[in-house]
Amino acid sequence: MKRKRILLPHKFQVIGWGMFSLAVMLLLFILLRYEWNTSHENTFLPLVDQYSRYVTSLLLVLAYGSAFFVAFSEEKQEDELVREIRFSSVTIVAAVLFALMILFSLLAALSQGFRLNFFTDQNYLVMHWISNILFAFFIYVIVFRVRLFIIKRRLKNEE
Amino acid sequence: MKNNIRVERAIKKITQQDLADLCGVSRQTINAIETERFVPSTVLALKIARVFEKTVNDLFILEDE
Repeated sequence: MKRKRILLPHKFQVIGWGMFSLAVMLLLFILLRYEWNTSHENTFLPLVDQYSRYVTSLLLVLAYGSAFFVAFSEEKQEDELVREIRFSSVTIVAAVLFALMILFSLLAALSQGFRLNFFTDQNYLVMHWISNILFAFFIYVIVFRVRLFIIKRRLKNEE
Repeated sequence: MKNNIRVERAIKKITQQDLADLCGVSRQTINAIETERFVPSTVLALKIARVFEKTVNDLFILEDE
């Protein structure tokens, strides 16, 4: 019985990690440049020259592309145990992020409703990150990799 | 769900890796099934049964809740 293929072949994962490395290098380059050039008002990406938009676009393409390729490509030996870990990881991450969003929304509502003002801008920034799809992908990749590593290591030495 | 894959493997004198290769999965998956950490799909259960020339019911025993 042929199984319907949903994920990309394993080689895309290698491409994804390559893109991720490039994204990290580009980010480091931007951060280093930020320290040298402090006389600007751009708070997100500090490149003030005419290339800043291109660099920002390139960084976003690399970040989203690498997340997509790494998250949606098969392992070297993709069998049903790996698939089980993959799908349960997606469920865990989605449930935890949704729970956090509910908690933060509740705290924000309480803070505003009772005029307690304990919900600061930083809390809203955290909420923004939790609802960011790139962040969710990132957390999913970490959870999946860690669980896969633990389970495979646990099963490696048993015969 | 219990299973006696380990016993059948010992009778047939094949390793986890041999069984994994015959079924097209990783050795860890066979290990996880033997140690009852993972319940295989119907397809994999049938493949394992075919290797041992047994029925799925001979290999996998459904326990009472």
